[in-house]
Amino acid sequence: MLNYVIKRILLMVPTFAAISLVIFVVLNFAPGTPGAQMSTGEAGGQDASSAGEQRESYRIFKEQFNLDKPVLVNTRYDLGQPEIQAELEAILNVNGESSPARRIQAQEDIENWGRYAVVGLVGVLSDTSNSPELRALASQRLTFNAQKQNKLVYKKNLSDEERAQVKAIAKANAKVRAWSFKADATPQDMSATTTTWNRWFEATAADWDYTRRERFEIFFFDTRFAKYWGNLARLNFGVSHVDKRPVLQKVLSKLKYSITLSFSSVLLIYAISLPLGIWSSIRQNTLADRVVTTILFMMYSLPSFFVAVFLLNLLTRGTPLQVFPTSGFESLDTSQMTLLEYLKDVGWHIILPIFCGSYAALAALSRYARSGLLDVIRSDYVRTARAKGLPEAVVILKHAARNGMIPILTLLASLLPTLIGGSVVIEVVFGIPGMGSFLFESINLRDYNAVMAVLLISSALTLVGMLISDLSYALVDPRITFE
Amino acid sequence: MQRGFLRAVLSTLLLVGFFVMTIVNVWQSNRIEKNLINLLNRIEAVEKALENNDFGAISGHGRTRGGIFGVSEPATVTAAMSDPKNVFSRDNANWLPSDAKQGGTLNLKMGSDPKGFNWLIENGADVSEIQAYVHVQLGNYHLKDVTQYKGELAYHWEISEDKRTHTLKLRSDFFWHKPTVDWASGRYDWLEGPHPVTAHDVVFMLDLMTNDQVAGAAPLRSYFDELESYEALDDHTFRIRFSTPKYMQKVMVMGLYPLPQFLYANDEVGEAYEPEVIGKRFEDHWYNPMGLGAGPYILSRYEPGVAVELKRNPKFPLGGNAMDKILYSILKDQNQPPRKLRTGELHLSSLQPAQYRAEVLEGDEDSPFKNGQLQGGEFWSYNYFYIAWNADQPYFADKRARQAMSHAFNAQLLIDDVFLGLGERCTGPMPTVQPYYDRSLDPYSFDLEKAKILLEEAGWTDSDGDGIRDKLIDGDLVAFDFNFIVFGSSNEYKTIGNIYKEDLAKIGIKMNVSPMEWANLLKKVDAREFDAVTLAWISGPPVDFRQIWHSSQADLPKGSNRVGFRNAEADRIIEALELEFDEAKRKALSHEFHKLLYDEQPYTFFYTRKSTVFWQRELKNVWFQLTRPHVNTRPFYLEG
Repeated sequence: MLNYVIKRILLMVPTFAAISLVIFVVLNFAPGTPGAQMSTGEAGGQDASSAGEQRESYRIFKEQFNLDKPVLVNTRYDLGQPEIQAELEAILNVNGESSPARRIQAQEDIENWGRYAVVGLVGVLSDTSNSPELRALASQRLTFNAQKQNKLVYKKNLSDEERAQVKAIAKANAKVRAWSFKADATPQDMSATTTTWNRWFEATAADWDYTRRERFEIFFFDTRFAKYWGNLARLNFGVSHVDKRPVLQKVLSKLKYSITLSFSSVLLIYAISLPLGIWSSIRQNTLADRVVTTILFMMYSLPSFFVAVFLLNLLTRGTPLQVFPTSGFESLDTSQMTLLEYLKDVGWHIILPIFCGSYAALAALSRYARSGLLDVIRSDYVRTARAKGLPEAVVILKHAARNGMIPILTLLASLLPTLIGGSVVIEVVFGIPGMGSFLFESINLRDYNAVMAVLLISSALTLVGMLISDLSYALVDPRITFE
Repeated sequence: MQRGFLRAVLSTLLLVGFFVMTIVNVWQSNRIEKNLINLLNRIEAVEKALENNDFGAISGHGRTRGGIFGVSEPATVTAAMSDPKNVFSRDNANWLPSDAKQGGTLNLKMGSDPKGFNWLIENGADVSEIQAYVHVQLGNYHLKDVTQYKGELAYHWEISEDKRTHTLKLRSDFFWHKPTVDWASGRYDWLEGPHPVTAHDVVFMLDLMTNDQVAGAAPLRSYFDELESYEALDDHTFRIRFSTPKYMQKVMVMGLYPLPQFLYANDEVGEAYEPEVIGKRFEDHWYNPMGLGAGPYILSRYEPGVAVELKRNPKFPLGGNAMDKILYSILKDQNQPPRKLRTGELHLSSLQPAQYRAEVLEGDEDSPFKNGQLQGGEFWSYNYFYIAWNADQPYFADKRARQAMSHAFNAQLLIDDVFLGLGERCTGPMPTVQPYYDRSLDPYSFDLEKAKILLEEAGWTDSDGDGIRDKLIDGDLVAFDFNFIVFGSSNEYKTIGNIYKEDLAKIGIKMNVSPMEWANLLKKVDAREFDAVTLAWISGPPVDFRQIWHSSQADLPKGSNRVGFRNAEADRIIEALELEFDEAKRKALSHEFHKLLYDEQPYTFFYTRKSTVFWQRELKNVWFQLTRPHVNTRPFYLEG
């Protein structure tokens, strides 16, 4: 048994890594970029005052979240003058053929290549056969690309040494920022600035000469995926792209809502569908059984978003009935409530969401219970129990149900991830700020870190749930062993 | 047998006993809890009263405890109002009528989670709305006239002869709110106030705004390109200088606000940040989930996904804050607000056009929307909808072709039927509510015959007889067959596309409507990969055409001049407007620009939308602002 558990846990590691790779790749290649303004104001409206001029802040944003890095492998150490020159010419539209889309892409490329583009930029700048426009652009780009990333500023509580480092980088960057010229500058200015850059380039030569080892490291580790995993290994899910708060903290704050909701619906589902399943297996193929089955399947096929909106309009709006609150998990101001009042308040708010979140599962689970019991009800030991003269209730509940419910019990373990994951539809319609609506919003805002965190947590729970479910088989059924 | 029976009876009794005791226990502790809450409430009330008295003693003028109409004006402010050099003038419109009542909780809604309340780095509409209640600016527009300015934090504003230097005097009776922190823990004693708002706080704001590390301030930073210097001359005098004077600087200076240095310059235990990292520290400052201001309301609670709570600031010198509390519920599902208006859970909410149709135009006669329980009204915001014609495409290079497109667009019908009459036809590059909008121009008539003539003149004829007009361009026969991109999540836009398509078919033009999701649409438009697109611009009261219309923006990747509009005359007017401070001349220039674009038709200007708002009957004195946020509830009060 122990061997089996250990083996399973070891197997989980590569499975989890594969899952995370798939999620990461899909997320990063999905259309849309994080940080790009997603809100549409009113339908189709754009703010005239801030539509442009977001470039620099977006560049810093990309840098902070490693979005300027390639997703899986990085070959940027090889970038030389020809690549850079091609991009710069595309930005300037030298041959008149680059489409606006190409120019946007070129601008983005040069930005994303960061320090890797410096070699090429210096090359373009020093090449006096280039047009002044091109050289001017190269010098302007250098003032950004040559800056060292000051990642330490994101760190809290700097040591004295780190503080000195931050200061040194800031100083070096400030120096670099000043060395640019415009296309109409005098030749003297141009050559003076070019000389300054060349001198700087030589002084920092060690930065640009990548050894084999460095290339290897850059290839695998200077990528979005490696950076993300580096943080994840330290159980750091990163901060939200949206409000820069730690993702884990945000996720934890949603748990209260989702767990309450899903725990009560699981409880409700089991409390109703087990007796129902047993009842209908005893009365198999009677009219009552058929009616119940039909009703359950009708409920099963009703989409929950429809039922939710229907119930909300029927039972909350005031015409004709006003029984339940219109939305939320609790009243807006609960500070004046005692514990009892609070529990009542929450209960009142979540009756409708729980109903909408569970009615569909009733059909499936009660069918499981029914067929589970039907499997054993005709077996020999049940007949023996009847022959002993035991009352029918004892035969069914004590002898048959115990064995018949094994599949149902093990299903419980696989519900673990849904317990945390919440339900998107229910939470959005009823305005409950749980995990489901959090995931939904994060996807809309392309908040990669938040989406990754939620999905990874629930896939980890799925794996654990599957293990528990397998183990519980062995626990409740002595015939199954893992030896 | 006997013993077994006795045991059963005993254990049953014991169980019942436990049960009863538990119930009594729960009931008792519930009662105690209730008493405790009452007690705490009373202590809080006493504390508040004490605090207000204390405050009077410290500041030396107890007058600041004035009610919802503010306090009597300090003499210096009154004197400044009669100074002819002062840009600020007295606004005779009041927030509240003299019979307004104080008190009550106002329930409003918010459609999204604010990302945090650091005013400098968060520019979302939701955050700006809260900022309007919680914070103050140096000055603001007059309540009912956006061509004039009134003081808020500042009371005297002098612009030098060369228009480069702005000197502002700040009032001394503004104080920062008490930060919302866990005071009981003792960790935040270093924040203990009161902290007056000073010119140094304005300087601190500009320090951060010009700091490269503060990425969130970049949009604002671009307006201060010509910034030369700024300084606090003393605690309450602030001066800012620009290298070249531009009109928009005036608006930007008016919109400056202080930031609390005592809070943002320090980490959570009160230790000052190093200057090398203060920008980044500020961007993810520990107080960013909350916000601090000096305005009429105090931000007292924020629960993401649930609520934002504002409490009345009893010490606000300017008044205009009748409600004791404003409680925003965060409702992300757009179907909730009408429901909550019916149940009375919301005092006020705007309705989307579809909801307006369902509840008001087609609603039951006895629904609260119709039976007088809810009152309705509307406001205009600074927006205009348009169809942009990409002039770099062969179809729309000729202005006569664009004029023909405008004549074939049945705008009034669409406004009336698709947009339910909630808007006004617009003829030029500014919202119809813009004070400098030229009302003398008639909108392009819906006239297919005229459109045909214009198309013929522009060389678009049906030469191959296939029913679609065509034209020889560089040796190729180009058919007038183009794509029209619309915002796909909106049914109204798709309807516009379809109606327009039919009308164009009548004059021999083939249009394909392609609905697109927002991110995709923006990408296409930024890359100029479109023939025609319909969108809207949202702006503020001052006119500033450079970004959308100047030829220098036409070739900028991702620039806003997306139609490639290049016109020397337009450039001249735009540049002149930027430097012109005289309002009468600005008006003349704006009219000139309006006429030019009316003739050129780089866009088919469509309409300016108005929004419908409904509110509960007990809410009084409801009127809406001319500037954002339009639904500012400061004039409102609750009756009874």
